[in-house]
Amino acid sequence: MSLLRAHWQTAAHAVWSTLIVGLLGAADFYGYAVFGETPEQVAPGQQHSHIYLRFHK
Amino acid sequence: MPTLTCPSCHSPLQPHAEFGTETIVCGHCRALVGIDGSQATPLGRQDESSARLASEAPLRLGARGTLRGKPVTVTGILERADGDYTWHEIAIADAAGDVGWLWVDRGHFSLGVCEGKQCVSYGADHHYHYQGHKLALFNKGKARVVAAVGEFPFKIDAAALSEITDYIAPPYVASFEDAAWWVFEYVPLADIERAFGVSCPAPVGIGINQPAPYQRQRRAFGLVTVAALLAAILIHFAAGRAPIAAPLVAGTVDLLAAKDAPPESFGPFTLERRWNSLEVEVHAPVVNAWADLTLALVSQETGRSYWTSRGVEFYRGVDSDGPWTEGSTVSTALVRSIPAGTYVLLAHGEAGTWNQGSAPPAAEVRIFDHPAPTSNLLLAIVAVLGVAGLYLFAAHRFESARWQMSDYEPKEYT
Repeated sequence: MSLLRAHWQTAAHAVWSTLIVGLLGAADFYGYAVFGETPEQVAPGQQHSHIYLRFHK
Repeated sequence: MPTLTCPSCHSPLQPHAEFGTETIVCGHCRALVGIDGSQATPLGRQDESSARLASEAPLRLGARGTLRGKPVTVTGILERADGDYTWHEIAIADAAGDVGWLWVDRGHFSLGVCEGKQCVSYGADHHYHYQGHKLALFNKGKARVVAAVGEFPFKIDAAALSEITDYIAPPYVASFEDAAWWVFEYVPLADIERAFGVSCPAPVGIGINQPAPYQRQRRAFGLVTVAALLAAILIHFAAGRAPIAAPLVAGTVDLLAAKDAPPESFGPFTLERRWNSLEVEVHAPVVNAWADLTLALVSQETGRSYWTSRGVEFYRGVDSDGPWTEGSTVSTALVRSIPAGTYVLLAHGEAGTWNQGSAPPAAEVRIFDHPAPTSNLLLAIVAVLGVAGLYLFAAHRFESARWQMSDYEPKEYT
């Protein structure tokens, strides 16, 4: 316990780094991109942007 | 030791022979009295600061405690100063009568761990060393005694100025004074309060030999950082699959079609992962013209569609500075968060011209699978290095605060 108290910053950094690396692994594994263009989603029959209206005629 | 009387007020003095007392402060008139065997000789008088010292010193005269497993008693307190800067030196005697010292600087306590000419050595690297620790020059000054209470194993000359040179290698400070080294080790305030059963005011600022938590942890912190970066790189290339050179879907889109013409359809193609990031590439041989594609990925299972648009434009000409170009015939974008499923690509194109340009009849669109984009890895690296940067910044601030007390530039110590 005293060791943890004396090295809490390193311990916190280790937890943080593990979290970040874990999230990176999960994102990469499931194909999730943090950055990039998020496309507009339109459900069937849902109202959507005017530029795309003609697609649903 | 026989009972002596103060040469100034004739009050009885009771120096302790086991402490090797050479100076005692008269408890009645505060005079400094030299002790030489059975002789008491006046060394000087003190003003009110001595009375104040008795009541305001970090520890009281006669206080008992157990410091680092050794019972000790406070037998003398000195207040010393270099100009306006003051500190306390507290004599503590153990059961055998051996007198040690506590140095108290702005509420920071340090315990004397070595005194004598041989405590510190001069190395081949032209630095002083204490027990393998390289010392850094911190300050030089001339110290005088402001006030004293109790008894001391040396003669006190209140008028004398002693040259003191301080070197540090936290938790140690080595002071060179009167041709001898006095090495002190930093003692956390909690240890002092526990040892003497007292409550002291919180220390002010950073002690000159206060161990930096950052210094102690820097190696482990660095190892965690490097390990995390390596793990991130390994996981990125292991968990994420490399992009495939062949497009998932490709098509040629008519740019001359009427605005209300139905979109062209390409595919189907299948996305397998939970989420999918796709690289959309549009190419058209435009010259002084532009082409825009409106694109929709339509899920064959749910009917839900994902819309984006991408265009290219390329212009060139000649002005007073010579030929110029602007834009490109190729454009790419990373489209993210497309769920797994089978999709068809719907596309509609339109084009326009500028300054007698020519609109191309068609544009090519290609969509590539782009798993595990590098931006994910870069973000993780920034997150890990960002915390490491904060740590370095905090360490820098700690050392800056320490060296504000110094007349010298910060130097390396180990």
